[in-house]
Amino acid sequence: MLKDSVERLVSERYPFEKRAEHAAEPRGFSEAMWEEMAELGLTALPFGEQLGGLGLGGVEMMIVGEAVGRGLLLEPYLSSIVLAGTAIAQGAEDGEAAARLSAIMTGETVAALADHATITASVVDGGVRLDGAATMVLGGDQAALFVLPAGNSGWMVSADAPGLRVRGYRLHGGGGAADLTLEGVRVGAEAHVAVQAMTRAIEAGIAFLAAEAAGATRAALDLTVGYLKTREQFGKPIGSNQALQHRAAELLVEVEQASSAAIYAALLAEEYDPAERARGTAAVKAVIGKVGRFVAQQTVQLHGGIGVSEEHIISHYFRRLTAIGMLLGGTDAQLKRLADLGGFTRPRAHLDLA
Amino acid sequence: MDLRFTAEEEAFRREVRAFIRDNLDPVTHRKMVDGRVPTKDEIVAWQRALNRRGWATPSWPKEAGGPGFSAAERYIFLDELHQAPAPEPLSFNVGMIGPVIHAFGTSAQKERFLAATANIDIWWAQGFSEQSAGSDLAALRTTARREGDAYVVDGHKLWQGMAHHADWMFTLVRTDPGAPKRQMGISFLLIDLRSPGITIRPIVTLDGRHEVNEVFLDEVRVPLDCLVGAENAGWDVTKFLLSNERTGIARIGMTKHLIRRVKRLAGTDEAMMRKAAAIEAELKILEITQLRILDAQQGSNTPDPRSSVLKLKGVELRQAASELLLEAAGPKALEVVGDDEPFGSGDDEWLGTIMPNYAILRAASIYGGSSEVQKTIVAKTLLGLG
Repeated sequence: MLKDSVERLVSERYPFEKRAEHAAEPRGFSEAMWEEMAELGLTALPFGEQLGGLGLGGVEMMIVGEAVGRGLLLEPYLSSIVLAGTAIAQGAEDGEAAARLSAIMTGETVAALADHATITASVVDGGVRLDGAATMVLGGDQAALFVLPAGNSGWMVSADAPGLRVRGYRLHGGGGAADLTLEGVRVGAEAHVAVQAMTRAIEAGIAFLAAEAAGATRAALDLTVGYLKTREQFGKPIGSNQALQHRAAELLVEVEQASSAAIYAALLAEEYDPAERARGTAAVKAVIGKVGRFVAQQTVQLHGGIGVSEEHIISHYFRRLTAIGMLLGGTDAQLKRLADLGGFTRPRAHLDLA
Repeated sequence: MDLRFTAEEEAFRREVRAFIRDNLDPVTHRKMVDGRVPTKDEIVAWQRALNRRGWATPSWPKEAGGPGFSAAERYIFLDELHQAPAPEPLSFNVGMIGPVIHAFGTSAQKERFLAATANIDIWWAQGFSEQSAGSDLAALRTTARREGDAYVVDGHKLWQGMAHHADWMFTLVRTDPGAPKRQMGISFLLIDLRSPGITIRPIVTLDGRHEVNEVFLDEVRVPLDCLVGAENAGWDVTKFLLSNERTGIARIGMTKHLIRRVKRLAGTDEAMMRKAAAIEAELKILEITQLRILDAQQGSNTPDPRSSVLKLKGVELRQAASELLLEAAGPKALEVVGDDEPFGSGDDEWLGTIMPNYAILRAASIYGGSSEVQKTIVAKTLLGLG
């Protein structure tokens, strides 16, 4: 079963004590883990069988995402497989998609997609010329291939393309990103990615972050409840104090919301109506941002002093959950988007609906 | 896990909506839309319309006359009522005493009461709370002593919702003050409110309405055959009754109606729409939690412990929506307007109920198990704390 094998992989390869070692590797993640994820087929999960993938769907991606979130994995799964991979699989020409995905699925090529960019594409002989900039490109610090939005399209750009400058950096909470500048970067027509695929990629990325948040918040809560039961002060476990019991109950309510958000996002992957997907994704990301921030803050609080030590895993969940809330559009931006899309309830009388 | 409704369930939803559209009295509907309280007659008429359709008792087993809804159908049915908006089946009758009589009553009691309860031939009140017995219900002091062929009941009950409409009251009384544990000396009695010795006094709540009452019982004689379950075993009956709220507890549909009203009032105000989106986002996700619980419940009759999670978040969002509606209405909502003022003209949103309803909705986090008690239960039963 996928869930069992992923959970086993994470618990065997990624105990928290090893995480700092993995982060210290040259690419900022564990090469062995990345290889193992490819060997297990995880990196081929969401891509159609005709592209050499496993053709699995939203629920399977959610299972992987939860494990990644729970284990605080550093490997570029979100950026390469989910974001860039989805865009290429769904938006590049078939032959091109298969060719590019082959190396992405083996893990040989790490790819990254920009969701925050101002790039113009001017038509030139045989392709386009790209000029502009992109910021906070997730996984961009290690990527060999970029998928960039320009005008009403996406474009695949090699990291070594003339005119492309990449400034990579680490992110709080794990992983890395890059800022890009493009000056006269030329790509051929075959590098085109359909704009709908760029949208699907972001939606898939948000769904994955929701799953990460579901896994991470649940893990943070479990650790915290364990701590409340074992930590003694004034001659009794601190969990015997009602204020802390109530805080834990409030956390559980929010953790259940995070799980539901991840499930809803998984279901949205099969939703045909793009407007419904857009609304749903905005709601998912808004809730994950709010829940993640609350759970991060309160689980640190309930750990007392050790909650703010680098050594304790809870401070790492704090940082990753905070980051998740802010990546691919924070809560405020998502709520604005949801409001602009009209929300879920129309003002019309309910009985007037068919 | 597939949380999507089937084609049959979607068809059922449309059937329920059409039924409401065709059978709910327009005046009653208008009152519900405006947030006013329907009259006793209006509530009874609607329940009887549902009863003719076989839908008055959605949660009752088929043997008791229920429609045999699946968990999903029960949820859909209540959700359509909440969104219409239409009155729910009378909670005291359908949600509380009916299932109790079916589970614990004698065949004579079932015959005497069940059908009459479904049809509101008998309107029931809930005689649980007292001055010293709110969250701590087992602290109740109303006594009942056996005298010949009757119990003689003395005491004082508080917060009886709609007791002034009621014909009968189901009550918790202390039959054994000397029992080693307080819960062990409690009995469940059915009391005819026309009995001598009963006085019902109105309590006006902060919304200016008279919905709840206090009930004084002064040497009230209650026939022995009005005991439900064994003497001194009333606490088990109580636990059963209190656990009975399963689907529909989040009343998500009611919150949707409030959001609808917010959008009608403030649809062009960006800040207001952003706040509405915040509630809608969490509500959408809560619906998924509701569906997950329904999915887990299929075929099972045991209440899901995660129901507390649903109630906590559901109440939070409903109160938030009610507060947002107040903000959307602005200071004009502060003008005191009686519930019996004539309806406004066509499209105008009725403001008169917004402040009273916002105020009385503060009770949603208090009655039926306060949010604080719910949190303690969640911590204990779901997290093993305390």
